[in-house]
Amino acid sequence: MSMDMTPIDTASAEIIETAHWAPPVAPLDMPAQVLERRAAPIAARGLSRLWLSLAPRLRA
Amino acid sequence: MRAPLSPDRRTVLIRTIALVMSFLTALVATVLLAEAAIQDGIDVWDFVRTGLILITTAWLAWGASLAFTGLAPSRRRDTVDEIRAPQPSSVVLVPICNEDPVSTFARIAAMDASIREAGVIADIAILSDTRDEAAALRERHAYVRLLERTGGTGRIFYRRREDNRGRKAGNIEDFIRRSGGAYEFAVILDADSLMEGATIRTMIARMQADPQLGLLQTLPRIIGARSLFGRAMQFAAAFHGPVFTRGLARMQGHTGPFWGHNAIVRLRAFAESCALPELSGKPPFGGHILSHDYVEAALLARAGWSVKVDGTIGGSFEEGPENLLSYARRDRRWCQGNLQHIRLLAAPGLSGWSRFVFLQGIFAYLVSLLWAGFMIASIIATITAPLPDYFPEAHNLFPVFPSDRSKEITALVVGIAGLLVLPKVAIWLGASLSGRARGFGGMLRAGASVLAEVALTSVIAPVMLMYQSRAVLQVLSGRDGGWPANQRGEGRLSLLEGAQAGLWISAVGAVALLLVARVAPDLTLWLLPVCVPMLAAPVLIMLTSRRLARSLFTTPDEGAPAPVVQRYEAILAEWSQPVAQTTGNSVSGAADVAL
Repeated sequence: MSMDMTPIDTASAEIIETAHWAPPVAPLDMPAQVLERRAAPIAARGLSRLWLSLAPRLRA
Repeated sequence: MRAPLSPDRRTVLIRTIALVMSFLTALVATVLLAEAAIQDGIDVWDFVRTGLILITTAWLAWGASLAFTGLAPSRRRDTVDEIRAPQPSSVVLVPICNEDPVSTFARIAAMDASIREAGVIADIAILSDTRDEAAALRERHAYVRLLERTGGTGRIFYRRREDNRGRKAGNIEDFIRRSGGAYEFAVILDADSLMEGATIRTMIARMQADPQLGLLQTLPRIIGARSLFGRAMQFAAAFHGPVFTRGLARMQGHTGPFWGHNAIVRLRAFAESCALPELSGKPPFGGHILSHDYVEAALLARAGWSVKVDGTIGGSFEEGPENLLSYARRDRRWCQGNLQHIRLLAAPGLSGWSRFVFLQGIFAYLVSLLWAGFMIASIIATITAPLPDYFPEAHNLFPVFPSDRSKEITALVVGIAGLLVLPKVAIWLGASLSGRARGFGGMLRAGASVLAEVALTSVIAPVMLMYQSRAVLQVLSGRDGGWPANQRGEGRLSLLEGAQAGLWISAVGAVALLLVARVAPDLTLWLLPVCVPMLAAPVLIMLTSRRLARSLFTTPDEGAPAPVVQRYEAILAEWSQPVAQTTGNSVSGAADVAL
């Protein structure tokens, strides 16, 4: 992700542009975690479908 | 991935006793109600309300069991509070999003001084997710002033994301992916957090001493409350909070909580197990995980790390909502976040207790709807009940009067009230005996504060029940409330503001009362404690936001504020003064906006 590094003015720039304002670059890997089962049990899928059909009516 | 740590025998025993006691208490309540309900015959509404009283009373009893579990004081143990040399590299993370930069950066200045005084070598990284350009400009200006004051160049960092993916969890994840390799431990704070350097030192030492510990959560004490509502919450958190937290710690064992801030994490553990995916589908149930902290605690436990809470670690502070409306707004966000956990109940590999913790979080909000359902079912059951048959058999000479079951109902009401009040009374007794009550103004003043807090929470409970029920219904009907930034420092509300936010509650209360008075007049008296506060909702919202003198709800932190709090207040006062332009630019004035 990019970071906004625009100095706000010339006076502040002296401090901000020293490169100390950004944390040190030392990457650490974060492997994505699995939280959803690939195949939801049949009952859960059935309930989910039922809910998706009911929710718009409830909202109305 | 390592296997999750198993709970020890003591933890299992405590959990079992608490669960069994909660169930038995709920069973007694159900039998009492059932006995009263069947005297005029059995219909479907009797089944509904007895089922609901079983669940709701079990929930109350579970809360009480947490308090009773925490009542026994901790045994003294050898705790390691000294960091082993060489000091591990540590960083204090302060994620911010559209916060007031003056107070936020004043807190950081105070903490930086305290950290250096404690001899802790730690960087501070301010991680901004602020969207508003003008606010971001003020942040950068405040950052420059922070560096000038602290000499923190190269030690205190500031970065702002353009892409706010994942909100706070994504903000921290972004930092870890980019800079996490430079540090062993990270203290995660909120924008309104304050922490003593000595506390950070203790936390680092604890992490060093226990290589299995992935996360250590402190119990932040609420400070700075001024209103009746805020001070009552502040008192409850300080007086009852430690006991409930001790109960929680005993009950949860290695599968402890993470409350999102005022905690320390082992970055390697956090990185390898806490990258949160986006859930399939749209919000409120899909998309980013909102209440990420509960999930991160569960994921750390899934990966075999220990997650603990220690309420005895002092010097950890936060601010709380100052009025009922800001509390309800925060509750709306938490409600959506917790209900989203329904999707995670079956997540692969989680420990059973982590799933149970999710269930508790979900239930904390569903229970409002269940109480409302219980009241509605009770009214309908009364309306639909057949008229008493005084001559059930044709040859009876004398009428047979239906037996009076008001004793059972009274016992039920007293029992439910007892579940709410008894733990607090027990905590007061415990605090009086141990001398802890001295910090709260002594035994008598602490007792008066407990009584006043119970009275206040009882009066506002129906109003909170309405806000929570509305929030649950909104989420269940698919309405995404988003995750707006906290509005801190909100104070006094006018009657007009109270009416704008609470008139709908008054209307519901009036309709319910009129309806019941007409169709089931016997129930009117029973419903008054619920309906009268609802009718008065606008006034309650206004009155509870008023300032309260310090004679009631005294806390130890008011009498003797912690050094970091005193330092923060001094810096804030200094920075809140209108000053001449110090950097000769157009934004300096904006950054000096007083609170």
